[in-house]
Amino acid sequence: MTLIYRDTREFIPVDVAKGIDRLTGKMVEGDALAPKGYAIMPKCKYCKNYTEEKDFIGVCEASEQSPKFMAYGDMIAVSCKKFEEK
Amino acid sequence: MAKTFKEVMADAGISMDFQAGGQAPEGIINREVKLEPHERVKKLKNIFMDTLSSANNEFPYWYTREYMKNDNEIKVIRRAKAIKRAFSNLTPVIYPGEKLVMHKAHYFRGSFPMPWLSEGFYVAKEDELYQEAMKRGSASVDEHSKFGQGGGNVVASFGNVISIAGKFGMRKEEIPALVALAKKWTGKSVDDLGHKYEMMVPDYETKEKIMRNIVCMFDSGFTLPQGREVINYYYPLEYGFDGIIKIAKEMKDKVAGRADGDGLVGMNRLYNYEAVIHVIEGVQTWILNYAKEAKRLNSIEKDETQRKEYAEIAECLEWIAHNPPRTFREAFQMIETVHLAVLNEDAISGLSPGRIGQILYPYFEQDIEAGRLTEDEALELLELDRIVKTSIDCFASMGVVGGVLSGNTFNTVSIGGLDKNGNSAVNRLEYLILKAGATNAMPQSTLALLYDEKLPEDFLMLAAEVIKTGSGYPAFMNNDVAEHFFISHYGPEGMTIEEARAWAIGGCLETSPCCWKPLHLNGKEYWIPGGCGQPTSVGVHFVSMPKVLELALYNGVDQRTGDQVFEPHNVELDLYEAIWEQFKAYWQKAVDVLTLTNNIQHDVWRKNNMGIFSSMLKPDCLMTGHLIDELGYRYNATFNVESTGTINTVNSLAAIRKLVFDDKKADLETLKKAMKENFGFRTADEVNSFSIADQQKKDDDTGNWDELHFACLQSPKYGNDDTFADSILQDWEEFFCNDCYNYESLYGHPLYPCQISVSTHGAMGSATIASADGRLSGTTFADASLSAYPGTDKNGPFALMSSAAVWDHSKSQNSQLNIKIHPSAIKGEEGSRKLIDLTRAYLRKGGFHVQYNIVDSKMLIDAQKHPENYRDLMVRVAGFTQYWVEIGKAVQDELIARTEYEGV
Repeated sequence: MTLIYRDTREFIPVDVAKGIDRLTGKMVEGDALAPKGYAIMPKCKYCKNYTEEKDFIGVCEASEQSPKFMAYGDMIAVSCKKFEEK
Repeated sequence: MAKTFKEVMADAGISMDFQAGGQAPEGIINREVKLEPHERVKKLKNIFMDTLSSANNEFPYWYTREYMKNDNEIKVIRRAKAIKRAFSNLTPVIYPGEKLVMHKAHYFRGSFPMPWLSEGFYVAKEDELYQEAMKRGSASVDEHSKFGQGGGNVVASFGNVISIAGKFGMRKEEIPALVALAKKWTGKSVDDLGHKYEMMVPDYETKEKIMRNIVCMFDSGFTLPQGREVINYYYPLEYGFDGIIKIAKEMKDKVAGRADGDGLVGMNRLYNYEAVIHVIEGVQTWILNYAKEAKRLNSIEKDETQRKEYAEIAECLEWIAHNPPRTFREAFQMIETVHLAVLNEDAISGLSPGRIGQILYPYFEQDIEAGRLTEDEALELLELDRIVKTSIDCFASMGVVGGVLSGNTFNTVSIGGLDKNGNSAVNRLEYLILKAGATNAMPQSTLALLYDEKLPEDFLMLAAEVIKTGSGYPAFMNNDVAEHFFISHYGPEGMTIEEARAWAIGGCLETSPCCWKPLHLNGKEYWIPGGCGQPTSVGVHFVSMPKVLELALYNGVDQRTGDQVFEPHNVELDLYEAIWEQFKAYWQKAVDVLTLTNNIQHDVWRKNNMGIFSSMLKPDCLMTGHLIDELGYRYNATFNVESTGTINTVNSLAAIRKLVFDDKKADLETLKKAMKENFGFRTADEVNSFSIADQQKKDDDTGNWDELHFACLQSPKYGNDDTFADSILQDWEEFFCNDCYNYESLYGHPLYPCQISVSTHGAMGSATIASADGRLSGTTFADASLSAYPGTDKNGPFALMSSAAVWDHSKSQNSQLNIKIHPSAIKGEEGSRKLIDLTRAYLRKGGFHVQYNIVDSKMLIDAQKHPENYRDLMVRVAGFTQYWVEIGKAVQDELIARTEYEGV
């Protein structure tokens, strides 16, 4: 799968626009395409528990409240215990 | 083109060259001292210099999700669980080369909104933000370069980045979530609930008018409920987090089910301890998530040195997540982590680390003795700390972050002062702190030197060298004056002279109460200082004195908007004393209603949004079981009244007294008409400059106000050791310092005066018409509380200092005097000596504070024209240092115009 930098594990986010490619040490645009083979960054949009309802926003099926709590696809989930890769 | 103010003055034979004590050299003169940081620091600093202020939703998302889940819980537990969840889920990010790790959010300069404080802005902006997010396509180079002119400020949207409030960038993918989260707090936020109840104050309409007409600058209850205080690192350093949890559990057993004579909040202690445990567990998970990330990086890193450093980071974090630190490095990481944790718990500006040179000294001393640390390694960590602190952003509204704070977060470090026994507290580590301020000159941490006659001379000389880098720090604060203030103000709460000596600056220059605690390291005891008082960023902030005078002169009507702000007084202003009395009456009216509404906002805050982690840190919460909201802090009389525009008001009153009543050169109505017509000048907005020097005449001006305007400008001015003007300053201070004690905070203590302007002299000046001192409409007020108005201090710095010291500074939390000196005036060792002598002379006269901008005004003019060449240029504004490119034009203009001393 082709990923943009900010959706990869090799990307160290500096700010909303750019970050460091950990493998090359270079500053790259977050929206630029990452080289092939870079690993997926766990995010809600890659999680089985996330259902997108409209642009960029959905619900987390793993939330413990009723109705299920909102979520957004771009949120990083490395510290989320409920994350399950699709 | 119409004539500028300067040209008009020159035509009239009045010199307004904004220089004193000589003539500046023709070319631009750079600062004399320029040093470089360690290579590692340089690399990280380069990243910072190219980093945008970035915000995301991670913390607010998890906080809101958990908070909404627990609606059946006791308030303090509900909040604690929400905080715990938010910390536990934060994404760790570690940058190559970092030694002191952890960030507020997963960006180098990250922050996040707290809609539980105020959500209205995002909801109101919903359409605009949402549409902006939806229409964003590919990045635009042009837009991106435009942004660069604001340093790290995201002044406009570009690419997939949406600008919020002209300061923060947020990814377009996060905007719908931001709006959705904000909506969940509608009717529940401190802002909404506070508003609901503040409207019940009988004179609420006046408060609305005061805010609408910018007589007062902001509501602290829902913008920045805490800050301008000194944190306390003692408990984590002495006991470690596991140790604090153990204390809390033991205390729970002691208090469960017991009121112990306090039928009101005695029972709350159980819930408070339980809340403390929850929050600490969240912070521990946050630290351990970073440790896990460091281990992950260690396992995949190819570079041997970097891999080893990741392992050291992991080891350090795993230790401090549970235990008290053993080394200087661990202790430094501990205080860094604790600092960021407090800043994530609440919206805070001005959380000062305090006297870290004395707090970290035990570890420094023992590591140096044991050969575990070199001074150079300590210096590198201190340089790194400056990057961490400068990267701290506070997410609040544009009015607050821009108009008041200029983007600064005031993590001020204090050095010097006295120890518990009254001897100089300066130690070897404090020399290194000063040195790091020069080798890695960045706005944070701004340094406050607590001056006492007992401080070593070479320490003061080093301070002068640091000032000559142009950093604007250290500022000098008078230890003796502060101690007098503490005993006078906090005496009723039990402050002793010994405890007063522990004080430090909280925020930019707020004297804040602290205490001593015994730290034990390898069997040795050290008494370290730390904060134990409530925030001082709270109360009535900021009231514009020139605007109140305008209202007094025009029967309560704001001349910019036409609003009837106060009830008409209908007093015949036929005597100077009548004007003075009416000015004071309107001032009291404003402060009274603002105190009441502010109390309600903060009461809502304390009921729903109390500090838990920050409370736990400060004596005596952990011992009493009461948090900030239940007077758990040792000192609670911290709410204050802040003024802006002191000197313009003093000069205006002097001009009215002289021209209208003493010399009878003009009648009051004529003077008022001239002011209303801006003495024939265009408005500052039309000219797009907020400096008096740049103002331009109207094209159709007939010059009929010129003579009166000249007379206003030439009437007696503060800053020249002239009794006529200075006695009015005395009158004001006598009134103000006593009057504050007539108002009571929600915690049942009297208010007191706080006299700093931060950046409000720009924003409030822009909302005020011309004044009787000759200042023109919309131009910036004089900076600080005792800085002279640009171009009016003509008798040199000693005369300015004599004027400033005519009143008793120990009756106020602070005073503020900023002086601009050309670099050539204090060249070499002799120049440094002159600077210290000048400072000492002022402090011996009883001045509380003085600081210096060592800069060539021509450089500032060039920097305004070519900001791209001056990304790292720093200047001193009010009580803080900031990058030139990150401050607003109104404040920049005042800095350029401020009198530049060519000789000392």
